[in-house]
Amino acid sequence: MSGPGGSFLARALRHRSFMLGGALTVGMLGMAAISLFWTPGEAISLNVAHRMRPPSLEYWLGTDKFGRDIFSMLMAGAQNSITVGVVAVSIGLVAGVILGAWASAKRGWIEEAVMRFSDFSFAFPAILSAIMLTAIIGPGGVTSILAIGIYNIPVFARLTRGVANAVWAREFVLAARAAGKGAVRITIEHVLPNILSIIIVQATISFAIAILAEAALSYLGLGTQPPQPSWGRMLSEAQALIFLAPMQAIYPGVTIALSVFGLNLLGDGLRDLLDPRLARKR
Amino acid sequence: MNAPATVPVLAVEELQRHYTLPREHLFREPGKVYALNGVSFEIQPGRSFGVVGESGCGKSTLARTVMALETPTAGTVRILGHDLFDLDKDALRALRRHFQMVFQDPYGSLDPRHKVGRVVAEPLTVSDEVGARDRVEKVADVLRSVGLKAADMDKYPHEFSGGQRQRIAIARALVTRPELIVADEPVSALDVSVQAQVLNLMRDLQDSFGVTYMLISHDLAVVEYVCDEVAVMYLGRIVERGRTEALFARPSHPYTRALLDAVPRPGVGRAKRGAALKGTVMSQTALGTGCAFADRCPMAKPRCLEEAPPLRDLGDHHLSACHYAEDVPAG
Amino acid sequence: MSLLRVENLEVTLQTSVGPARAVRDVSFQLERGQSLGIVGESGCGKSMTALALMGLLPEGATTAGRVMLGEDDLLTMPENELCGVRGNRLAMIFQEPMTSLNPLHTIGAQVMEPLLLHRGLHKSEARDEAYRLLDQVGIPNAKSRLDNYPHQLSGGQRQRVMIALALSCDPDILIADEPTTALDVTIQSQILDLIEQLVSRLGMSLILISHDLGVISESVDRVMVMYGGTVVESGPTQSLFHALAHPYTRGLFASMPRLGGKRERLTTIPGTVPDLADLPTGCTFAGRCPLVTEACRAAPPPRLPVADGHEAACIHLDLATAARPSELFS
Repeated sequence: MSGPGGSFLARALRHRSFMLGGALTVGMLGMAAISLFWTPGEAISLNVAHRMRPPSLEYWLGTDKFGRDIFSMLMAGAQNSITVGVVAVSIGLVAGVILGAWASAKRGWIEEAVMRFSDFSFAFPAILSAIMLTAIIGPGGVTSILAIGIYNIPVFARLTRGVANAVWAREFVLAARAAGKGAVRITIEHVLPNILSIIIVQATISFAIAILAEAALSYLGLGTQPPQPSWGRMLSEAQALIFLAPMQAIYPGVTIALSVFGLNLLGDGLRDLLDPRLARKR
Repeated sequence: MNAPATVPVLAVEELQRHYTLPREHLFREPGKVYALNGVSFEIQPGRSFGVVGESGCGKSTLARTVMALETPTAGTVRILGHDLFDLDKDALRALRRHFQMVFQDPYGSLDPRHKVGRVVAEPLTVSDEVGARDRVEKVADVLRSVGLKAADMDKYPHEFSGGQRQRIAIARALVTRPELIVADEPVSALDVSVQAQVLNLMRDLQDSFGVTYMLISHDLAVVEYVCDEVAVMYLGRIVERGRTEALFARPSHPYTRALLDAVPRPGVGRAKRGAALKGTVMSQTALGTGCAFADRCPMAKPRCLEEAPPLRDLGDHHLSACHYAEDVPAG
Repeated sequence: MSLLRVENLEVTLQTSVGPARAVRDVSFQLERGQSLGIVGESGCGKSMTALALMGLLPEGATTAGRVMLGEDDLLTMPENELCGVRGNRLAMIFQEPMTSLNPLHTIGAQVMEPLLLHRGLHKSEARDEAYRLLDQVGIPNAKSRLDNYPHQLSGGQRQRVMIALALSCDPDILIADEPTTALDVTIQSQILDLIEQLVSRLGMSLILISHDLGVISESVDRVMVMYGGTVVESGPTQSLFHALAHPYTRGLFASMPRLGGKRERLTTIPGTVPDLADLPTGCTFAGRCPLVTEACRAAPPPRLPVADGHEAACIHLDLATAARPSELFS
């Protein structure tokens, strides 16, 4: 309930997993933000003289086989993950919500068509569409953003259509129709505000999935290209040295896990906090 | 826009509404629901017209069709002389300020995310004739006339009780000063002690604004209290119509008789209930020959199964769709 | 000795805004074969009283007082013993028969289940008994209906199935919580007739809960009017409706539109029903009562006799009964 704001904050502070998820997410965002103008070491350019250094005051988590500072790479990689996540989720959210709301407002064959389109695109996992996209426009950050974004469209379209249908069935929508409002105005003024919380929750969860997908694509070499640091590519590069320097794989692995974990907790927490009925049951 | 007294506020003619059910079988025709099967009536300005009947009689479909929320299969709805389904979109939208609706559920009919001021102003925002300041004034006025405070417009609906929410819903319907308000079970979700407040309010508003009501209800006592005229519906048809007092005092259709007998009356004392009507409402998915009520009718004769009784005039504005209307017991 | 004796029943619910006293100081007795009606508006505590008798209160609810069924106090009885009492000696039917029946099982299977479980019948015996029960509650073609699913029955027929289920173990007391509220008026009178017939034929006792004064006054021997979690007036049906005494009951009765009434302006009780989490210390009706005085707010009013067996909890009974309700609330 967006009504009394004070009680939302009070409930949020009491919600432990929401606070933990929020802290992890803020940590990730903070790392990315700081890396924009400062990193403790060199994240991009190679320095073979300092390769494979153990953790020290200068190199907090050591250096990799090219002499780059691992902690700095993680920070800069967060930037990359967040960019991919935000842009890809935005693509999916905007296109998906529009499609879903349109299907719900028009019903009939339009709804049918949108839903069959969703079913069809669900048959293609993000990895598969990324491979196909790579074949067309070549590998790179844009490819992974597009692939993950397209994958997200039917996710949001389905969700939006489902919850929007429930809102369309409410009497206050009937009242708006009786007042003479058209489908577009009803969608904007009544339907979207009432489904917003559910969309927000889905967005945080999709964000987590996007980070995982980006890491997977980069791991396969289809995503972010060197020299731009990426968590997924750090994993793939560390793989060759897995017995020699296992920590180099564990650092990005743990970072990915914590980010995804944090976002999922945040999403679950938001679901509770934005739905007063669920919150009361706890 | 003030209609001359000769033009009825609402004129419904031979209204039919049939729905096609989702196809269940590949090779069979999909089923149909016959919700309205030829309904006609008129309401004169300043009068209250009640529609009573049990679930499945088509009364809610009738209300929604009159509100142009559903398109009829056949027939016409005229409001102040304008045929609703012959108007283009913009003309219909402009006409909507003259007929508004009050819904049953005081919790579901107000958007929980909008403040009361916005809820009540909704019908005004459709036509751009009213400026923002005028709008606030109108909302304040109408809130006061339904017994709320102007300051209530800054609150959310969940801050109000059921009865107050129904006042808000009435305020929304009243804000354009419509000629016709269609009220679909406006008090059936309310507690008895709150019902009376809302019913009295509806009567007061009629006295002060001269609004015309079409009141849909399953509760005969509510209809009797508010309405001058009443139509009794059964399976998509009006089976009896007339002045409320006359119709309830001397029903001319066995279904009306049975409805009146079935209503429990407080204070009568134990076990004085009339004999219960047998069976349940026949399915709406078939149109039989003969009278639709024949299978439950205590007076049914062979003729009733063969020949559908037309709604015939018994004189003194009283109509009944029964071959044996004159024989219905006075009770 | 009475079949059921409720003494000073209290029910407190845990809500998001703190404890709510849903039922307070409710006492009554029910004799074998007698029917009792509990009438009141939403939140008056009538359903909570019933659920307390059944031991089906929502989680976190606490109770005080005694509910004596014969020699046993149901409030202190352990859950496993209570299970035996429910169904066997107490049975309950609810407002919405659709949600009370499992949509995935046939009517027959659901009616047979308690017969197999509690009465230890064999499958074929149970089927015969289920047929007999459905026939008894007036379901046409009961035999073929055994294989139907709940959605294939009308609302009235589903309520009949619920009654058959409630009767399956010959309970001593049938508790019916708004059994006809979801039904049409012609179906309502069929179901009320059925309940009444069964109660007298089988010698059961009945507790009928309703918001409808009409339903109550036509169906029971004794009436209890509840408001704000407590009983404001009680007595034999005839005498109670003949001489309503409590200001709330008088106001409620006068605020109902009545068939054949004069279309006179309805009397209204100002305000709304009280919030159970925030009840006044004194009389629960004090906030809406035209006769309220300081004494009303200070302490809960005692139950005073009106006539033989007819009591009302109001200290201004003489004033309340002297004026017509329309004058009282003007």
